Amino acid sequence: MRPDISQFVQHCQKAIFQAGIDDGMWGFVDENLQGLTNPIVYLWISARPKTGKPDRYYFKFDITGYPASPPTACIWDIKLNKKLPENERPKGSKFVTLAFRHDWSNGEALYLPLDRIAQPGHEHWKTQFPNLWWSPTFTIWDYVNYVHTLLNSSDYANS
Amino acid sequence: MKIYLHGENNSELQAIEIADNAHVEEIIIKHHEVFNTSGHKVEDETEYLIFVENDDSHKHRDRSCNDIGIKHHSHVHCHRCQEVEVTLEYNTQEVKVSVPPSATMQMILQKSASELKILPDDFGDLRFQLANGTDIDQKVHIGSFVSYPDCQAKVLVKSITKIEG
Repeated sequence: MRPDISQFVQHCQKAIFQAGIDDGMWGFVDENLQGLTNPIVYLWISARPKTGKPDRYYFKFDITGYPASPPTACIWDIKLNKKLPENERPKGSKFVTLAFRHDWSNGEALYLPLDRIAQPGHEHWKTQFPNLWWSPTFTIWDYVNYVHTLLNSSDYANS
Repeated sequence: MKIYLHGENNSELQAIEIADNAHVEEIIIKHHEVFNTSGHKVEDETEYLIFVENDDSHKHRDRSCNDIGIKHHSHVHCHRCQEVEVTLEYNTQEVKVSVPPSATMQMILQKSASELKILPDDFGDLRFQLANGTDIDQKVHIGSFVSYPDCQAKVLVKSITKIEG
């Protein structure tokens, strides 16, 4: 198994990540991580109830070089197997819309200090958001848990 | 069954397997095995107490999991403090609440929200930090950042910030 995949699988087996799965906060589309041979993984993350919106959103994660290199995630239409269109992305007037923006990087990555595509050009985020700037000591829990926070925020639920 | 174990002054969550009708005493013994294995030193086990997540009081050692509502995937906390005095700071206001070590930030916020004048609708837009800048997730137990006999913690309550430009 590739070292990045092996490390990723190890981190997914940590109690803190497993607790999120057991509590219904997030999960894998394909739970057979031991069979993972390429660094693309599909996860779902649960969202707070909102009229007309799904109870979970899907993400296509690329974990190449994990954890030395940050993961990158694209919000995904799991049925049509393509990135989620703008009108279906999570919205929130304070901070949610920006994280899932479609008008930057072709809408193919999350606009977060945790994301591999978002980091270049945003080096000032390292001092502004030190607890969200991905470093090699982070694990997939850090990324997924923050996205869960956004999808369960009042900003998301009330916008 | 599998339960999740939170430990005193240790933010690394552990998963353990116990019998469905195990007693609290066995959880304490498991706690010491697991946390010792993790490289975390644990003192004499006789001083430790078990708390169920967000429950007010500790559970007696001779009680069984069935009796006290510990079930598959429950979160429990092993700590020497009977309670933790939490000072919350929000918008220059300060409020003190006493909670069990197994209290999550969600529970602590609910207890102090009216004094801090935070509306329940806004709970989801808040984040929490210790005075040293460490972020505290809403579901983590406050006892994981507290070491006996210093049974207190100061938490800064802030708004989630927009990440832009």
